[in-house]
Amino acid sequence: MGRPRSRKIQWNVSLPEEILMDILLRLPVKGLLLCKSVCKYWQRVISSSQFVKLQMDRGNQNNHRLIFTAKPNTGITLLYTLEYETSKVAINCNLSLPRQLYMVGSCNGLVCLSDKETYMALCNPATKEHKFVPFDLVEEVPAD
Amino acid sequence: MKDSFNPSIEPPKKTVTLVSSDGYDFEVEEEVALESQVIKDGFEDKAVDDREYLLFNVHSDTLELIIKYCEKHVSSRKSISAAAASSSSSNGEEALKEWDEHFISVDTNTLYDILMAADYLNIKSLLDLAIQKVADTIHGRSPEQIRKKFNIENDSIIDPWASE
Repeated sequence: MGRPRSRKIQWNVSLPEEILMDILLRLPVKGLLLCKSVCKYWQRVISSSQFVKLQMDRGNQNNHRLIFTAKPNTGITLLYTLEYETSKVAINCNLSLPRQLYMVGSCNGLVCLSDKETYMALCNPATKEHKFVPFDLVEEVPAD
Repeated sequence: MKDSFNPSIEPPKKTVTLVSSDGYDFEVEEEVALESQVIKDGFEDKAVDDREYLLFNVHSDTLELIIKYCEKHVSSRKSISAAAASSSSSNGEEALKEWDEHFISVDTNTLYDILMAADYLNIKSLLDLAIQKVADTIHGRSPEQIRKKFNIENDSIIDPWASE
């Protein structure tokens, strides 16, 4: 009895997606970013909208934090976070965005930054990714 | 039969036969088998003399471990609740946690087998234990170390965030 010791299980091809998601959901965001480059299968699972949603739900349960920009005078935009539980302030990310930007608003962990003139970007501080939004698409909501 | 998992405690308890994918019979106490939600579902509908389960996806090596886990958890639960009833102090839960930690400290192939068996048999606490172990193993490792540990072929494009 017993199986050959040389038996090698490939964790990418043989692991059901549902179980892989459950495993990856238990990792902090930084660990997830590393896992994205393990293999294409893991990358696809981590990038899937289903996983993103599960991850967001989990994040919402866990830590509450406040995100803000400090008065930027160095030409780069710094995002800070203030943790609710510990009152700890940390520089969350140093975005290589070309201007001095202000925070316009945030939703579900995404932050909207703009110079309020010509430039707007959506940023995910957890992944340090950002996307530009064409400024002419943005309509100003009239104040009541 | 491969091994006896039915210690001769009196009075004799009701047993169930579990058959591994490679054809070995394991006779276990009913309450141990019922740790599996899959066995529990529809258990009462099955005739008493027909309580045999063919586990096509579980090899005998793995089944032996699974039974060991379930037996430990059934007996620990009893001693924990007995200690609670007599309001004597007990570190049963702490001890069980330690036992679990030791139990799941296995090579990655065995961990994979336990993970898949716990999923197939729907043993929630064991599945949770195995999943957490995999997550802990991944945590703090580089992509290259993860690939090596879990025997994953590198088919990935270079990720710009990998160096951080």
